[in-house]
Amino acid sequence: MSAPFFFGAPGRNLFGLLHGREEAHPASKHALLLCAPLLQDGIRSHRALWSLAQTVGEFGIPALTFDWYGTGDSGGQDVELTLPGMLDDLERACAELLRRGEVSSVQFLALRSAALPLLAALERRVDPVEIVLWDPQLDGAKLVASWKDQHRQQLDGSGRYVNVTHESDEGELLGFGVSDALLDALSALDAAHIRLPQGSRVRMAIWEMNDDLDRFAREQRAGGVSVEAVLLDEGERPEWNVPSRFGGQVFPRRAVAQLAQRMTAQVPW
Amino acid sequence: MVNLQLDEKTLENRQEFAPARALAGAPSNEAFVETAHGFGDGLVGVLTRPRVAASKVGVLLLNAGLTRHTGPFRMHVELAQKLAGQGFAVLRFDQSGLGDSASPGKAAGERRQRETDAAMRLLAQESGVERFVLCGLCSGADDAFHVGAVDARVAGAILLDGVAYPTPGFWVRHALPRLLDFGKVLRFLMSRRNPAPSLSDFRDWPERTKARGMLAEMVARDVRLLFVFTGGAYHYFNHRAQLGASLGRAAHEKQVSLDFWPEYDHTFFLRKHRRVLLKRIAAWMASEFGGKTP
Repeated sequence: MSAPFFFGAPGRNLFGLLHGREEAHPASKHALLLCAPLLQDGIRSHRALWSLAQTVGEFGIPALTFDWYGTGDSGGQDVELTLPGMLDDLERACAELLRRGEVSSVQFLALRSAALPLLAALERRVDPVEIVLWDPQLDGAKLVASWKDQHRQQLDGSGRYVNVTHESDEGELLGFGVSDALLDALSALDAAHIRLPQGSRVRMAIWEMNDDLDRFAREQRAGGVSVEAVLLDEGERPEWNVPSRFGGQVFPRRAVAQLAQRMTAQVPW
Repeated sequence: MVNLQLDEKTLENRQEFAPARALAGAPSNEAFVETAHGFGDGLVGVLTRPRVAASKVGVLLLNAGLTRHTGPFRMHVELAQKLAGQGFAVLRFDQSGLGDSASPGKAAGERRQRETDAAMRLLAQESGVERFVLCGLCSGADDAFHVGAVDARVAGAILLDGVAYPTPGFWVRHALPRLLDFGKVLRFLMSRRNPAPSLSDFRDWPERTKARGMLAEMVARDVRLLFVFTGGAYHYFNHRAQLGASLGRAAHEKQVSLDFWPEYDHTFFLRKHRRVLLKRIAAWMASEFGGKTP
C-alpha cells in the first residue's frame, strides 16, 4: 500500500508517496529513496519508478517517491527548480523517510538526470552511502546540451505542429520554465569529479557502458568507492531522445523487475 | 514497521499545505489550500480548495492518456490553482493503474464510473460541492464524455481533443491537399499494407449514433460542454463545422461551446499556448458556473 502526503519546510512544500507494508517481519533496517529525473523524463518515467517503489515497499522495505520543489505536486513554479533547492529537498525527503519508515538508514536510487543532484548532495555526507544509478546521465554539460537539442527538435522536427512554426519563450525548455541558474549549475557538474564518502557503494544499472560511465567508475574507485555495473536487457532500452516518442511513457518492465529483485536482495548484484 | 498512517487522520488519508506565497499568473493572495488524499480502492489525488467560500460546483481533472494526474507539463497543477482562485474546488487524481494510484484490483467493467464516483464523493465531502465539471485531454476527454452522459451529478465537461468523427467534408479537406503530394500518397499506400497503431486506436469513442444520443441527452439535462480541438486532432478533426456534422443538432445548442485551434499541438507544449488554454477554461467556467471573474 502507499500513502500520499506533503512534507518539507514552511514555504517549501514537497509531495511524497510512501510505499510499504503496515506489518513487515522482520522489519527492514533500511529504506529506499527514489529520485526522479528532471523535466519531461520525470513525467515519462513516473510509473516505472512508482512500480519499482511499490514492489520494494511490498517486500517490506519502505520506499519513498517525491516531487522536487517546482515539479509535480510539490509547491513552487517550474522556474523555481534549482540545484541548491534539490539538495535541500533530498535532505528533507531523507529525513522524512527515516521518520516515517522507522528505519536507521536510507539507500538511494536515481534515474537518468537525477544522478547529478543526488551525487552532489551525497558528496556532502561523511558516512559511506549506498546508491543505485539507473541509466545515469553524469556529465552536466552534455545533459544540458541534449535538452536544448531535444527542445529544438520538438519545435521543428517532431511533427508536433501542422503547417505552422512556433518559437518558445525565453527561459523555456522542453515544455517547462527553466532558469539559467539551474542550467548553469548542472552544466558545471561532472560526476567523475564528485567525491563520495570513502567506503561508499555505487551500483549502476545500465543498458550500455560508455565513456562517461567508465570515467566515473575509475575516478570513484580511485577514491575508495566500490562501483559495480549491471547490464540491463538491451531489447527494452527506452528511446529517450527520439522526438516522436517524447510524449510517450517509458516503462521498461524487465529492468524494473531486475532492479526490484536486487533492491530486495532476492538476486545478488 | 512502516508508519503509513498520516499525521492528520480523517475518513480519507489527508495532509494539507498552504502555499507560502502566491504563484504568478495564478491566485494572487494565498487563495487556495492543497491536500493529498488516498481514497477509493488505492486511488491517489490532490485537492485544491479556495480558502474562502467555494462554489457548489467542483472540477475533476482526469488523466490525459497515461500521464500522471499533474498533467502534461504540469498543466493540471496550474489549472487547479487558477480555478481555485476563482472559487472552484478542484481534484486531480489518478485512475487505477496510472500515476500514483494502485494497479486495478477489480474487473475493468465499471471501473471508470466507480473511480469517478469515488473522486466525486471525496470532492463533495471535503469541499461541499454538489455538482461537477469533468475535464480531460484525449482519453480524459473520452472518460468525461462517457461519465457525463450517465451521471446526473455532472454539470459540465471540458473536452480537449475529445470525441468527434470524420465526415465527408473532413475527408475532402484532409485528402485533397495530400493527393498533390506524391510522397504522401506513397506513404499512405505503404501504411495500408502494414498499418501501425495510431492515436485513434487508443481512444474510447462510442459508435457514432450512440455518441449523438449521449450528447443530446447531456444537452437536454442542461449540461454545459466546452469542446477544444487542436492541430493534434488533425487526423480526425479539421473544421469547426465538423462537430455538428458528426454529433448532430445538439452540438449547435447554447449549452455547447467550441474552440478550434489548429495552430496548437495536442499536449500544449509551449507555455504561451497553455496560458491561452487556461485563460479560456477559466473564462468558460466563470460564464457557465459563476465564481470570480478570472
